[in-house]
Amino acid sequence: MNESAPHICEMCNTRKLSAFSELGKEELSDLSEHKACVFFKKGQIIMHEGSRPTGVYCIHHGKAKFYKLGQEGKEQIIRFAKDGDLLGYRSILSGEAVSVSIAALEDTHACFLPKAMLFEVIENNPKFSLNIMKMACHELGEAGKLITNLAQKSVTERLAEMLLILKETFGEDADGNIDISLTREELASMVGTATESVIRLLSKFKEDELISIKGRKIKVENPVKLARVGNVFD
Amino acid sequence: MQDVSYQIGQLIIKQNFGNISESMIAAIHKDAQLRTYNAKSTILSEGSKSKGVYILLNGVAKAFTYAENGKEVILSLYGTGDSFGLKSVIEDGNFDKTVEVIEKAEVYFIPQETIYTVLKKHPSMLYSLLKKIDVGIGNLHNQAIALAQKSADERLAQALLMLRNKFGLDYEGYLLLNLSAANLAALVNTTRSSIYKFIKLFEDLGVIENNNGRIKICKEKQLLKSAGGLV
Repeated sequence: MNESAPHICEMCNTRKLSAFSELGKEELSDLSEHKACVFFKKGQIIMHEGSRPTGVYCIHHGKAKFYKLGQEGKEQIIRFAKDGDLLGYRSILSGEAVSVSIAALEDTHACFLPKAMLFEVIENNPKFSLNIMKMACHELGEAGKLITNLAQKSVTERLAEMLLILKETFGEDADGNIDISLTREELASMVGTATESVIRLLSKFKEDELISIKGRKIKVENPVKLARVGNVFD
Repeated sequence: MQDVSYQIGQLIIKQNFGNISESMIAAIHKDAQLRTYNAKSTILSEGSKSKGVYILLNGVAKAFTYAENGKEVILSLYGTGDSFGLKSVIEDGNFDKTVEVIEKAEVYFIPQETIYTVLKKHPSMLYSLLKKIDVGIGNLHNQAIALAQKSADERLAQALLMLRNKFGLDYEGYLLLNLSAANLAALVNTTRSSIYKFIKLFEDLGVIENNNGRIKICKEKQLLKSAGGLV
């Protein structure tokens, strides 16, 4: 299957998931004219923390992680991005440097939209502006939740919740596994704990038949019980 | 009347709403309702709907949420010029934290209708609003990293430096904002007794001076080191 983005935005199915879903025909053909389709290899850095991007990326097909480097360069994953997500828009619109680094977790196809084009759409389409505002507000809420989670939940609870979030975000592959391949280090960096703890807890979850594991592939066997372990109510 | 507080009000509105015309600033200012809140009173409760944006003219407030075990977790401290409530307005959803006053505060309440009117006329106001949100997200991310990667004493050291940078010092060099041990514990995410212990420890090391809860930073470099550097 050819997964690269179509050069014509109107023909793109991912668009419906993106902030551009409400754009009209003319605006879309304008976008198509100015965008560039790009490809990031798995592991490749898309944006560096502290840099000033010249435009935004809209993920057509792929997965990426947002992370920051903490003490002694230790990585903290903040969140993930998937099809239809817009990368770097806050930095462009607020005029600040990018506050996180973004790297591809899988081979990722995306479209690059130059800054000026984004400004143009915003100034001509109030619906799109509101979408952008909503996206930023959602991120603000998520950042607050991250803190409450880290502050109140045990590592066991956080890992259980994280697995459920990953399942919800990325869905399942044909075998029912969570459709994202993360290293144990990345899981630890997401949960905010040591890699050894993640390894120990995963085998505990497996023993309790909450999940099954095949290499990097994790399958949630008992979501109800896992939610209970994670103290997840919503 | 063009008195000083009027000018300060205009300045603060300009700072929050940014690149808009003078007449728009005046229009927002005209609609702004000045409200006074005493210490310990609640401005907005978690789960309620914000019908506008709140901007602090003076005083101090904290935004917090309760953990499942009833523990308070402080997400942000607000001082002069800081604002909140925009998220609830934009999402037309419920407020996801509680804002309570720590030091008596005067607050501008800008009704949501005003915000929408100005946004319609000046789409570029979006950038100023986004900038505010962007800074807020950045602060929360840093706090999250500190929680995940730093020990409680490092987080306390970091919090003391933040209090100095954000709220400043009095003429004797003490922190202008002196938080109670309970508030420090909720900010740093530890227990009150640990706060007492670490304050005593920093004092014994000569890094800070503690005068009945008034704190002076004596050795900044060492405190920065104790904080494990700033993330």
